[in-house]
Amino acid sequence: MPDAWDTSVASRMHVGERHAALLEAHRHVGAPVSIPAPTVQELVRGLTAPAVDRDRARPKLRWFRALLYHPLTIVVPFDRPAAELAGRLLAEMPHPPTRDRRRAGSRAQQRAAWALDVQIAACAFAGGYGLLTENVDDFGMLRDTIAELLPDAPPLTVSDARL
Amino acid sequence: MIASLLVAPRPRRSARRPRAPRRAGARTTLRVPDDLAETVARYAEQHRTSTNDALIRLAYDGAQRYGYERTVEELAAERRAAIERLVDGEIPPGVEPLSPEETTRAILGFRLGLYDEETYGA
Repeated sequence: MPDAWDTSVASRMHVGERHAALLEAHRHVGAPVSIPAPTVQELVRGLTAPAVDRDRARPKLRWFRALLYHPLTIVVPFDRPAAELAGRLLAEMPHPPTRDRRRAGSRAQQRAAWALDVQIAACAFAGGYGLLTENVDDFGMLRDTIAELLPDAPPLTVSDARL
Repeated sequence: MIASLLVAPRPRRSARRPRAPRRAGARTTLRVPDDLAETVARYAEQHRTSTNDALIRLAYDGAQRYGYERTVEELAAERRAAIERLVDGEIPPGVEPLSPEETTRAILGFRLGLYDEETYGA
């Protein structure tokens, strides 16, 4: 099953970062790179935020935009089925299950990040993908919750990008 | 003139286009549209191979992409159908629906950090 890349992977796929080789491998064989829409939102927000030196961030932003518009890149939409599923998931799990072990961010920031993770999982599931992530604990919980909610549907697979 | 041509050195092998790999499979004849033929020729030049081999490689790329998309579409269709089948429990007779205010409050609950904080002890 093809995997969509969550933000923990997509944010580390540019040159010199630890998932650059993965991106290169996809380019080499012409395999599509699938990125959920909420991850695109995070990438662009991060590189255009006022807190970032925009002159220094601009080359990276340009690089990511070129990738997003590349014919091999698929942005997995946050569409009607994904949105409905995300709503159900967030109602079941309004807080990240591993929040006590999360390192960064206030509780409010963790809540916002969790809402994005829920959307990413829903996009991947409704889009027909598995998920490649470094955050297997949280997405594993989402996978299990989806399986309880939709026991007849082919389950979401969560693969550890650190392996 | 003819003699000089006969003794002229043959082109070095390294300067020639490499031979395309031999493949098994049925032979076929097909008409290649002009615009595609240009792309195939460019690909063959860039990868130093024959136009036949270039056409096959490009077809493999397309087939791989088609296979990828088909896998994803089939899985998505099955999962989306499952999402659409989601049903909520029966509505008990005589139940009083949420008031407009309660409905709005329920919908904005996550955004405003209302009762899920109480319910889940955040």
